[in-house]
Amino acid sequence: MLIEYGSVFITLAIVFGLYMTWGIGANDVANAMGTSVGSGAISIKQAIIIAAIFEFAGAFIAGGNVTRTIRKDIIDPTPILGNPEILVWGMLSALLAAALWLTVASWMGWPVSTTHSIIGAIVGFAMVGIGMDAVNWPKIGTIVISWVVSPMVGGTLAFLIMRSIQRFILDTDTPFRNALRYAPLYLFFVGFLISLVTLFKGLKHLDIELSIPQSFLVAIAFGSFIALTGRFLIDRLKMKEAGSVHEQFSQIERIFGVMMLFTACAMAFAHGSNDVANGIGPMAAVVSIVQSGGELTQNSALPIWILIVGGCGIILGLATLGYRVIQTIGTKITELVPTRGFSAELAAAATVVLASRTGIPVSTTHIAVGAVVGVGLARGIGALDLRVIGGIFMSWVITLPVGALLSIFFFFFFRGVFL
Amino acid sequence: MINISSMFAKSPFKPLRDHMNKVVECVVPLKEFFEALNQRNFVKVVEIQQQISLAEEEADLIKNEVRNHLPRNIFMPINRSDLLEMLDMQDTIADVAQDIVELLALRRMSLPTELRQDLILFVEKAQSVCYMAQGLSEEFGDVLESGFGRHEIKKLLAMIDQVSSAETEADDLEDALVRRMFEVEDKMKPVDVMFWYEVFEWIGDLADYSKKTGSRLRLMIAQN
Repeated sequence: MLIEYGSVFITLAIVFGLYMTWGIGANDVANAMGTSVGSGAISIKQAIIIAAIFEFAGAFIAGGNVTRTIRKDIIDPTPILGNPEILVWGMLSALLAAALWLTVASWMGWPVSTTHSIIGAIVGFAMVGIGMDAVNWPKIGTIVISWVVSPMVGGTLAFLIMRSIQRFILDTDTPFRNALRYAPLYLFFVGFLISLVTLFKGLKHLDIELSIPQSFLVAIAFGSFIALTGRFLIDRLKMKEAGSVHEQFSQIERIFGVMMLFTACAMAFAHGSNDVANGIGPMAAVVSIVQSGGELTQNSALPIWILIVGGCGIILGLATLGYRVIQTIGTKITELVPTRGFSAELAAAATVVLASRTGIPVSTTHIAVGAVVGVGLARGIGALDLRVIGGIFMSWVITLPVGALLSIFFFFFFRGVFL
Repeated sequence: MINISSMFAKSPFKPLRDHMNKVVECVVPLKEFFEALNQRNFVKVVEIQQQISLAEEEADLIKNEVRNHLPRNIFMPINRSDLLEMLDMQDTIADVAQDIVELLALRRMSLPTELRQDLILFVEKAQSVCYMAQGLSEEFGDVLESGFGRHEIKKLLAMIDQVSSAETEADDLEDALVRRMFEVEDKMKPVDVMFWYEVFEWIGDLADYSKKTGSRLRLMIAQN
């Protein structure tokens, strides 16, 4: 079966994987980049370029753990060791189900999440195609809890960052001078945090093993590099301290506009490290089963070309539809000024990267929503419509069962076609 | 797909400021209006009256827009009802200005020459209180930007105090004017006298509602 249809399965996996990552690039990335565009920190064109580079970098450098989780930690294939094709059909069904469901939901404007769709789809076919015991329920439990916890973590972090900006910069006698003084420190924090979480015992797949002190040193070096680069860019604005506090506030927003370049990169990196796995995880599972001639334990490393397919899918999605979605979102988020956008993005990116490091697939969008609410709680935003939080609950309630049902349907379809 | 932009509601603070600017447009021509009235230049009087009516209508439109975009479940850094009341106070200033010019344009009343100088002084004072209230809404923008920082709140509170004391000064001018009116009222048409007292009251209201705008603002920022 596997030998006979091997190339068919791999082709299907690539096609469905491309479809899924295309959907991620077309829709999902916009939520990660929209805040930067909306606050005027970067143009649409810059957003596309940043997204293309850092989504890929995120998937490549820090995406391994989530990919592994989706690829092999959710399902225990022991009961079907003799029938590897079941897992192949299942993963193909999961991909197709999640991608289709996302397309329909985006079309209808329903609140769904890529991550929830794919997890629901994988669990769905596993329950029916293999059996209830095949699902690693404790793992699923951890993932589901993280969906509730992660937006709260993002919100808390955003609240604290916003408060610190108020405390150290905005609510002082010399806000402009304090902004210049602390900007490099905040940027150091961006570089340090993201790189430390990524490096911390996290680069084994690239054959780079750093000890804990080494990780810290590299993170400090990277943070300093970001701080210096930011300092250089801020100096290029050539601003003189304005007379009135009112004018100083708009100068500070310009400074944070520059700083948001870096959080935009961090956000794209974070998104790539977590969400790209939704597309390439199942694809990698299919490819490794077929190429190993039916080996289900899947000890092989993730082939680089799969990552590249995922990256291409995202860029394709961005180029075909994503830029328009970013544009639409960007024009609607004008109320979020750079100091606020910086707080929300830094918090969201840090939370997502942390989740990626622990291999937990989370929803970047939900975390971003949590972060914006955190900034709002710090009295940073004029008016928030919190009905979107209801949408998050709906996403949990609707997406999992629909993803599961669709995937079960496709599973039987594939079984019928190939058996 | 949850669209993150759907959580950003239209902020009411910019329209609130726009509204106050429109309200001030109703107040600015008042001095010119009384001067035209004193010179019995009724072409100009009617012209200014129409100009103020137009600005008042536009202020109403902005007011409705703010209200329409402020559903109950919206999350803001301030209390929703305080904001709506502040909007009402601002709007009353425009309404009063319109009432003043409509009555006077209709009745073409003129004041005894000896009172005219005092009236202009009183109008100027009331106008300046309105302008100070307008300054409050500018400063409030900085309070928002700083995330309700103590520095900016302190500045705004000081400005609100200034509006209050300016309003007291306007009151004093009104008292003086009423007293002088009392001395000469026997020489005037009784109905005119009654309406002039009413108009003085209304001019005082311009300052009074400006002060009340400040009081609402004080409630809005003093929650934490």
